[in-house]
Amino acid sequence: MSTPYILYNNLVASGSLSASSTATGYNVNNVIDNKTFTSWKANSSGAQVLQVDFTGGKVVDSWALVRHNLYDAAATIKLEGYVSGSWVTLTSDFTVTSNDVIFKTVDSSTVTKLKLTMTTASIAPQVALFFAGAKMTFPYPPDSPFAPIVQGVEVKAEVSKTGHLLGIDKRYNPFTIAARFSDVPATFATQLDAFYSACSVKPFIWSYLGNYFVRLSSNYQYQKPQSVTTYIESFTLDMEGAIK
Amino acid sequence: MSYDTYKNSLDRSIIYLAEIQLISCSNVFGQSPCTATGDKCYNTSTTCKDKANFTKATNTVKFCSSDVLNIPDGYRPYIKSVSFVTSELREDKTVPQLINLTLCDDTDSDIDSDPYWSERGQIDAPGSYFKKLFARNANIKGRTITLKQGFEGLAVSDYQTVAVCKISEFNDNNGTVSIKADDILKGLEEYKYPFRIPGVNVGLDVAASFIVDGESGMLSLDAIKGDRCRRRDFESLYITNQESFTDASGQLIPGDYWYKIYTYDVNDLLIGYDIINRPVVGAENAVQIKFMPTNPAAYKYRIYGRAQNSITYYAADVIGWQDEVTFIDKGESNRFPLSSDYPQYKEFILQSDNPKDVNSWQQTASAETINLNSPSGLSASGFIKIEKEIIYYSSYVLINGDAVLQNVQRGLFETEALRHYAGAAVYTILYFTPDNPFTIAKSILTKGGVSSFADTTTINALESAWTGPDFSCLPIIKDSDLAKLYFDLMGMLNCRSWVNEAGKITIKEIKTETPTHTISDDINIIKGSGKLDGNNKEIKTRVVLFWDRTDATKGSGDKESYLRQTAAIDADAESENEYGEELKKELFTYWINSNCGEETALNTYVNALLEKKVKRLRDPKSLYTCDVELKDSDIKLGEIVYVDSDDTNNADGDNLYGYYEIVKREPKGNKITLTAQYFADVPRTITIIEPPLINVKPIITTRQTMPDEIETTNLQYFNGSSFVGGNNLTGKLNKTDVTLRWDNGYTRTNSTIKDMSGNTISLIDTSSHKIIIGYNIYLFTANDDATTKKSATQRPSNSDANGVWVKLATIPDRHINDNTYKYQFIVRGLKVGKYYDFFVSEVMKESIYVVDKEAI
Repeated sequence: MSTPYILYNNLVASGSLSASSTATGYNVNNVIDNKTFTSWKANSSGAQVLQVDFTGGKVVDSWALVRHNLYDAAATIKLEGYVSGSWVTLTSDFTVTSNDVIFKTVDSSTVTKLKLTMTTASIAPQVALFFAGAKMTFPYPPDSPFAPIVQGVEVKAEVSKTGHLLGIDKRYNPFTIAARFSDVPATFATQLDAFYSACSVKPFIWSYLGNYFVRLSSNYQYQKPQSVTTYIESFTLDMEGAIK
Repeated sequence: MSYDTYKNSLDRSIIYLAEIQLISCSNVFGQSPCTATGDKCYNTSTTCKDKANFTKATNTVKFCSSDVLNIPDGYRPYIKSVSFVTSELREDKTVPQLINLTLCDDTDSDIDSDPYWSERGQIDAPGSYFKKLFARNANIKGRTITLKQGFEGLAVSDYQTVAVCKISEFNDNNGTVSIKADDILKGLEEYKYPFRIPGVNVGLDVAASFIVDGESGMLSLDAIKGDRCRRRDFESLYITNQESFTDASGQLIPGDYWYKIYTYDVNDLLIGYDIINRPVVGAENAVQIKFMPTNPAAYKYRIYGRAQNSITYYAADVIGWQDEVTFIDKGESNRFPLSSDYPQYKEFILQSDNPKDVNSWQQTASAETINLNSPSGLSASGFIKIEKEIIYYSSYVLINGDAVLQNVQRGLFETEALRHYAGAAVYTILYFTPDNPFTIAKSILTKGGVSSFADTTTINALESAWTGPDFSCLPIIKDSDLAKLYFDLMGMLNCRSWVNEAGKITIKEIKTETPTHTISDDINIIKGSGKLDGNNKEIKTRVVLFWDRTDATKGSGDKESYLRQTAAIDADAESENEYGEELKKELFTYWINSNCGEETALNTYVNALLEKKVKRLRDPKSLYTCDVELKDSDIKLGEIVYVDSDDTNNADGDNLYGYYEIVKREPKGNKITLTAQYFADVPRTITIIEPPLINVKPIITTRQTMPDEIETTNLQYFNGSSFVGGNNLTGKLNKTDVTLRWDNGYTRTNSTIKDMSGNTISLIDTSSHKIIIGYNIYLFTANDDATTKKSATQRPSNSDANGVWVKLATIPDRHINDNTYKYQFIVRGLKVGKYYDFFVSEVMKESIYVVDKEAI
């Protein structure tokens, strides 16, 4: 059974971004601002490229796209890395199956450039966030019972004086994910410390039984796992985010 | 799916969009025309480093509800909560609408808000989005905010505007931001009149400019060197026939005089019926009229006088375009004005410091000029105020940076043309010559900078349909503002104005109409929300209107500045059997003045207006408040609806199933709180009283609601020997004066009505001819001399391609002077050989005299 991944250290933000084309008002740097309501958009369909140039080699073993139109655009996507002076395919061409978060793992490679190629037929590709980097891999799945996602909806119904249902207002709450882990090797605490240090306010990618762009819940309190044994007794992660 | 599909579905998620229009600069920093150097600005006025070359553009920032699932492109999901109240319609005012927005603040990379981000930007830019926005746009107060409503899944283009306001307040509360925005119409309050023109002062000392009757007056002036004196004893306008209303000593008999001023173009064609002025002759034994021409095509005016309600006489011609004409009738006869006498006065300048020496005064032909230090903010021509004096200028020229006002007319509107010294402040003033009141309303909205928000379709339709008197306004030289003027105007039109749900300034007459919706317990009113307020505090049994403002120097609430007051009284309501007391409401208006039309027409209008107000106010107008669901959001402010609820009862205990007017509307999520005011439409007997004025006998007229529309037949004209013609009169004119007459009127569907005593009166019976007033007489002047080209429909039209329709008058019943043909009217001053058409319109539908008698 697979274990959860977290991709939080977005190396794309540390590189120099460029795009094959950019529509007015859709700056390419929007893909690294951690905001899903700003985005990059190409100015036409066809093969469009987002490229990141790093200063020095960077280890990449996963990447993600958040809030995009690549399913609507019927896009095929390929990710290449510049390794030892030549382009290497990290993720081969694939067709997107939904507009939800895309998360892909690749063979760990040290790259000096990344090139994401999106080929669409008639709709210009649009992407809000582009993540790439080295993922944090949990040693075990979360404890049972575990709900992959909890979605809250508030409903307010109004009835007339004679009892007829007049209308319902539906309001969506942010979804939540609560994962509890037990008996994790104590060595994992170091990775958790680094994760919390980076993500106390910043969002990240959570991949387990689905891919989600989340942040730690606003009332989450990180309790540093301590143990005198080689195993951490337990710790929890409370996350929330917007669906899609 | 459309907006309505979502709205009418059982469940949906409401999403709000808010769009704020900021002012930005379209220049590129440091590139021509921008000359700024150093650290770059943010292309906003606040951060601009070269304000002289700031090039105004618009930058719209957009926000959407924070709980939206699919964020629309370009919108930031920052809206935490929205509350807004639409305008509240009250009897004599509109309570402005209000928006309160709470938004989340956020970190921001500046990518979208910093035009030079590529040079200095960073993804982890410091500061928060709103803190930076406010710092870069300190002038955000007053900017327009548009609030739109839609639903999750609806295309942004299908969202509906629900409010448009101007930002009045914004606060940063560490993490959230609150923005308060007020009604667009409230912005009219910011335009105070008179207002000082910033930076404009008198450049050179201005001499006094006296007006005297003759030489003795000139020599007794307390004048100093350089002062001017205009002597009226050289004026050349006099009455020209033998009807001089003089007493044995040769003085004009004091009394009530009328003057009608017909306007002609350069081809001597009658193009307007500008002003009817009604001066009262007092102890000075002279009639003086000042009038301001309103028609730019005017070339000549022909003035007819009418004295003591009986005799009409040809008074004078005024030749040539003049910006203001002073006409004095001293009752002299046989003195004809000559165009060569123009101008009709002589002006002198004092050449020494001894005004008592006639040789010190030297006649001048040069028009007076005034030097101002700057042209900034000056209109091309118009009125200004310096200290207490109102001054007109026809144009200005620039001389060494000074604006030199040309053809200056001093001491207008009874103000004194005193000396002014360099440095004195200059004010612009507001003034309206007689015009269609809806044209004036549009002009006010334009002056207030909100004309782009006007519901032009509705207002233009009201403007075109207007058949009442023109409205006018004396110069505003005492503190007032555009909002006060605007809502006074609406009140005098029996209208309301507000910013509607589409963000447009609309106007609507207060009247009953077929309801468009029913609000019922069964399918509309949300359980537990109904509430009834008896609203007894607004009851009034009489309404008094002060009108015909004569003294612009006094405040609008000063009764002494009005020549007329009219009261409408519901005597039954004041009787012991009802309230047993006088519950009075006093109104003052800038807008209805004697230069707006004939006295009878003005009286008729004022009486009808006050009748309507008393009818509305004499009974308690209960306020019913209830919540309805979003599906009923088509029920808009100002609409008439039926209310069918057991929250309201009639005397029998049944639901008071009646007309209500929606006077307040508060959307709250998927609920809308409606306040509906009971709209009684019960015929009442109202008595109109006008307290006595100088030389005017009081008239009491008892009136009742009007029957159906009335028509006239058999319009004829007198060809010198007999009356000829039919309803459609066309002929080449061989006289300058034409006498028209026509048959008695009749109603379209009824031939009789009942008077106040219950007696049946036949509308086509010649013995009852006094019952009808208010015929409108229209004159059509064809464009073409060679052929007759009347209007295709033979009805007056504002856009007739074949010529011009001019409304000559509304005829009161006192013009009835023939036992066979009951209505007769003389049109004077026409051109021989020209084709004219005449049209007598249906009378006013609103009212009818049943009993007309002098009393007291």
